[in-house]
Amino acid sequence: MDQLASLSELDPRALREAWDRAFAPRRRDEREWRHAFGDGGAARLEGVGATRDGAVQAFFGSSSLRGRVAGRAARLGHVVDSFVSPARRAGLSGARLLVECGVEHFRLHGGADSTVVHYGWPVEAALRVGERHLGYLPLRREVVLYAEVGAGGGSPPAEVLALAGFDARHDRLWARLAAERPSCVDHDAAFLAWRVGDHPSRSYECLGVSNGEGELAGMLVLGSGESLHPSSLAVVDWLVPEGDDDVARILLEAAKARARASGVALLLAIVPTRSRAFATLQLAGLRPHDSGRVLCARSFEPRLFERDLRAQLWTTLLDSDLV
Amino acid sequence: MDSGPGGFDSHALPPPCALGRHSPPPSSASFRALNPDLIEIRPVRRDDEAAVLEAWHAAFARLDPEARRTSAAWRRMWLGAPHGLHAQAAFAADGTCLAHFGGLPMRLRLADGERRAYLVVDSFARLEARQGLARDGLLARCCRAFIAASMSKEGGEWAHGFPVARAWELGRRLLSYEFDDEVRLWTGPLESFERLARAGGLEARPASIDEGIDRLDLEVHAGLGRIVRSRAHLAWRLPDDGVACEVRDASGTLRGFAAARESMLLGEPHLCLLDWIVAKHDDEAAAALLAHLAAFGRRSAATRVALLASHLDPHGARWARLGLVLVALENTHACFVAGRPDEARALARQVHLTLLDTDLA
Repeated sequence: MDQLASLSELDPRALREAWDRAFAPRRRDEREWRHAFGDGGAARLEGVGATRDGAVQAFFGSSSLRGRVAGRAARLGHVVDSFVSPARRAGLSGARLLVECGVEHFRLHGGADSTVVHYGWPVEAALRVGERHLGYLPLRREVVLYAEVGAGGGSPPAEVLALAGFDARHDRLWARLAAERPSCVDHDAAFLAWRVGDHPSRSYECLGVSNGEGELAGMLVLGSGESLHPSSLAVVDWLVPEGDDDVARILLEAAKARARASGVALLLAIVPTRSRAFATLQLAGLRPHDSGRVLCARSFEPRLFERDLRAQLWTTLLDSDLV
Repeated sequence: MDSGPGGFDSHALPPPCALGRHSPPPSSASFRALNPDLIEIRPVRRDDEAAVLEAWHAAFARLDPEARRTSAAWRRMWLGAPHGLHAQAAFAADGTCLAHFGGLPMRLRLADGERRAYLVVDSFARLEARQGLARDGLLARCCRAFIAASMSKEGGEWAHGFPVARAWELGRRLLSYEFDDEVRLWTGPLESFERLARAGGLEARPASIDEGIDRLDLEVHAGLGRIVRSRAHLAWRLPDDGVACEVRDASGTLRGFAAARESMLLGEPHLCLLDWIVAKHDDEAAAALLAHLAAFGRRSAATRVALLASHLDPHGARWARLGLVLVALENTHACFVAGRPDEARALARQVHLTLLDTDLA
């Protein structure tokens, strides 16, 4: 008989062993980074596992992150690291077990006083299960924007700054951006320090443009795009206020230069299809292509209609575990 | 087709708790006063035209005062369909139409054979007869009657449509709608269609609507799911107020076909590319057709062009090269297959649709 237990009740060692059986074994530092516990950090893992005879059979969880929903401070949960152990995957019982964990997870960790919106990009089979049993709302098929960068020079425009570390300038830039993005994870200095600066196995590069008075007019984060295309550099975060087209153009030129310098064929980006950035990037020469990934959400905010969530939820690749 | 921006005639919308909040129209008794036992749900017949049109206007005119559907347009849409009239409606004892759910039948050609497709349009409940998310609401009952009469698990008929946001939410919860994607358009200035350099002596001219178009379509879109462009289908679906043109080579072989009309989209008049059948690398034919369409557009009020984006469109890169950009609408492409819930979305991913296959323009 399987027993359901919340993350804090699960034996950490049994959970680690189960994760390693379900996914490729991870380095300890990567696991600890991803599964940051406690409310003080940018992220905290929440979840529910099913155990039998002391072994974890399945787990459903979200990385709960600070952000805003419909303009109000709230937590959003990125559904990650959910699995059924390989031995239990055959037939319907595996899906049923995952659904049981998911239902309990949302009962414990979904709500206005906990994590208001959970989101993710499930594979097709998980999407079907999620729609039928876990209240997933499919919001959009993500469109990946790409540009062939060609060969040639690798120097970014002179106005571009290589940013090291994250400070109050990032918070002030984010304060401007947050006003344009009513439902999103906060990409402020603390988040960037955790997600970009502290990542144990992936490296990123942050490029910014100053407004001439010591403030950041805009910035982007570059990282490998190989999960989407084997020879690509990705704009994994786009932190440019709407309408600052000059800043956008300079940063994209810099990103293309970096891509050329690193010898990859493509520059990629994913931004919401309803956003102005989606048009800005296309007008700058990036072309759209179906990514095959569907953004889904489960909302616990009764005042937030599905149509509003679809229009508002601002995600970039940095909100996923693809980069 | 005539309801103005956004194509919201796909479905009438259920305002929250609408029942009883609005005064009923003078032509009908209060829905709450109606005896549910006296409401009849049955197939729509030719002689229901007046009642259905009255209900259509009652449902849509409140949302869009510009929404108008003439008798001729209704007859053409529903009675002119080559594969018959497939719609169900709820009628009060006095003959008032309270709700309507229908699909325009079409042939869908897939890599493994043909099946019936329905374009779901004109699905609505009049305001005073809406029952929110009640499972036994009249719209849901009409939908179930439609499925029972026109679809079957064995037949695998694919029903799809482009509901606006609130209608999608209702369809997802009550009518088994499956999500395919948000609806996106390629848009840009009218001049975009003139950017493809003309080469050779090909000229586009008004199209001859014959079976050659479907043969070209089969060749150009081999392996893709397509609504069959038979002569009868095109005669039914191509609007009278648009343009349909073709390009033939010196031997008379059809090289390309295109159709467009002016329509309100995104709040302004657009030259809407309804259909586009040209080999992927045939720039010569493409340039001739686009120049012909642009000339038509210059005689209209449209200053911009629009066409339905499809991830299967062989010409996607062409539209980007011409400077068009993708814009997302609030509509959803939704679909369902009776008794086979996992199949609808998989089918949708195989079918390359154009605006001609929709009610958006």
